Parts: sequence; structure tokens; C-alpha cells
Amino acid sequence: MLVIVAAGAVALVWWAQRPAPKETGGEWSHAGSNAGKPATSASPSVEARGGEIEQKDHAGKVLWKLKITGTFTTDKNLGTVRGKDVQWDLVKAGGKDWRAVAPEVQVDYSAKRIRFPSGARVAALDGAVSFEAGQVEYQMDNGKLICSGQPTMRLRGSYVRAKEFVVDMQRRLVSARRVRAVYAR
Amino acid sequence: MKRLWWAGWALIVIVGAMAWGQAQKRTRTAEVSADDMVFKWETNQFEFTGNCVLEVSGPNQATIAAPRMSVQLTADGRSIKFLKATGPLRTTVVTAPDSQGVKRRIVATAAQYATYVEADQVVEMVGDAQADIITLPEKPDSPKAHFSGDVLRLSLKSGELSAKRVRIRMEGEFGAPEQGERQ
Repeated sequence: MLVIVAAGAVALVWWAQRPAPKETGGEWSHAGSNAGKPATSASPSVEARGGEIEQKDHAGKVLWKLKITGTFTTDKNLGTVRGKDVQWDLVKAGGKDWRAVAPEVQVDYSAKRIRFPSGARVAALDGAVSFEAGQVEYQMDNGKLICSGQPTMRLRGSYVRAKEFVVDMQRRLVSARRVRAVYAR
Repeated sequence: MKRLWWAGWALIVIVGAMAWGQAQKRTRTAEVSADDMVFKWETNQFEFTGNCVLEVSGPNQATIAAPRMSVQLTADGRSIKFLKATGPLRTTVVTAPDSQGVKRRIVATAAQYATYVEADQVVEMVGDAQADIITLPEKPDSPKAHFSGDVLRLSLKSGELSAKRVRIRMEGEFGAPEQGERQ
């Protein structure tokens, strides 16, 4: 069972103590908005600026850290966090440390998804491989990173363009469809 | 004034050399397109499947088409080291102009597999390999040669074709007096 630790802001402490979401929804287009829900005077949404979130496994090992330098919003009922100007560190996934830098993030704990809907650059910190994409999604339940929206994978001397990249952290491989790879010689 | 004239020429030569160098750098690539790809980052290995096409740029331009290809990068992941295309496959090479300005097209097929090693820039085709060499531009009376053998080797450095246990059939004027069939 994953333990969520919120740090760096009062709102995120509140976030860590929230009850389980009543309605999962599952689709990001609905999560984070109040579409279909009655407005209440006790709004569950909190907005603040700057904060950090860590996610650990049951043994206390940090799985990922999210640093938000811009504004962020949490929604208690929907189980979501939205933030601007973010740095997301994925720790020791597939034998590598990864970092994503993005203008926007959406975290949905119910659907177990972290999304960068305005694009992101995700790079292994050893410099071996990186991705640039118009949309990036991390699936917390299976450890897959999906890069879509004219994505490019870059290696030290080569690059690959494809319709979509699926980075499987557990199996330590990248799969893609409709690819064009350009290698240095 | 004379110094200025020489300086101008030197500048032109330097800029020209830089542009040529950049052009040479740009042409040193190999491109693979395919339906599907898997990249294993621990071994720096790519596996391609479905309509795989390799294009190797350079003085002798080559294209290999095959159903499956695997690409091994160098240990530092900076460049291509080795490629294997699993057949049936088709290779097309357009050679650089020879000393007489003549270009040739080599179209080769193989049933089993082909390998490409970047260090020597040689494509080796294995299994019922066959190749046709045609002098360009192609005309009805253009010289043609047909090779078949167990193994064909194509050098992308020199444009040379060599073979093991080869059978050759030649048509037209190649500049050599002998024509016909050899074993």
C-alpha cells in the first residue's frame, strides 16, 4: 500500500489526511473539474503557491517527488492535484533516476495517473535517454510512462520519432509504433 | 589593398571548408523506419518489426528493406555499431560516380538475412543471394550483370560487390572483352 506524504505546504498536509475519494471517474477530462457535481458552500478545493509531494512505498522508499513552484489546486472529493511550473523526479525506475520538467501537472490518485497535459521533457539523469512530448502520462499502477503528441526520444547521438512511446520502467524498455530512427555513424 | 584581397579569399576558403565539413557531418547518418520498435536501454539494442527500411547515406547510398531488423548501438550509445535484417530482404545501392562519371544501381535480394557493420561499412547478404547491377541512366542497351551466390558482400565505402560461390551472367558492354556465363 502506498503512503502519501505531503510536505512543504499546509494545503498538502490537508491533502494527505483526506478521505478516500467517493467517485473515481477515471478520466482526466472530468477529474479536477466540478462537472456534474453540485456546487457546495464547503468547497473541497484549495489553491496555493509552491509545494512538494512525495510518494513512498510501504517500506518508506521514495518513489517520486513532485515540486510545484507555481500555483496549485487540490480537490478533496476528486482526489486531484493540479499545479503549474513543475519538476517531477521519478526515483530509481528501471535502474535510472528520471526528471520531468513541465509547465503543468495533473495528479489523479483515484485513477493512479500523473499527467503533463501541456507537454514535458523527461530525461534520465545519467543523460542516456530523454523524451520530449506534447502530452506525457505516468501510470502509477504499472510504472509506464506514455509520451504522445509528436514525441521524440533522444539518445546521445541518435533520435527517434514515433506516434507514441511507451516507457516500461519495470521491463526497462521503450516500445513505439510508426517509428523513424536516425542514428549517428 | 592586396592584404584585404588575400584576407577575403582566405575567409571564403575557411567558410567553404566549414560548410563542407558540416555537410559531411550531416550525411553521416543511418535511418530506420518501421511499424513497431522496442528499445532496451540496458543493452542499447533496438528491435524493429513490420515494413522495416534502413537508409544509409554517404557516397554510395544504400537502402535495405526487410520484415525485421535489430540495431546495436555502441557501448556509449552514441552511434550505430551493427545491424541485422532478417529476410527475405532487398537491398538497393546507388554507387557514387566512378572515374569516368558512371553511376550504377545494385539491386540485391537474399532469403535469410543481411548484416551491416558500421566499422567497415559492408552489407553482407546470406541465403540464396542475388544481385543485378545496372549502369545508369538505365537504357534498353545498358550493361547489366546478374550475380547469384550463397553470400554477397557490398562495400558502401567503395561500392564493390563480392561473392562466395558465385554465378555471374553479364549483358552489354562493361569494357571487358569476356561476356557470358561463369561459374
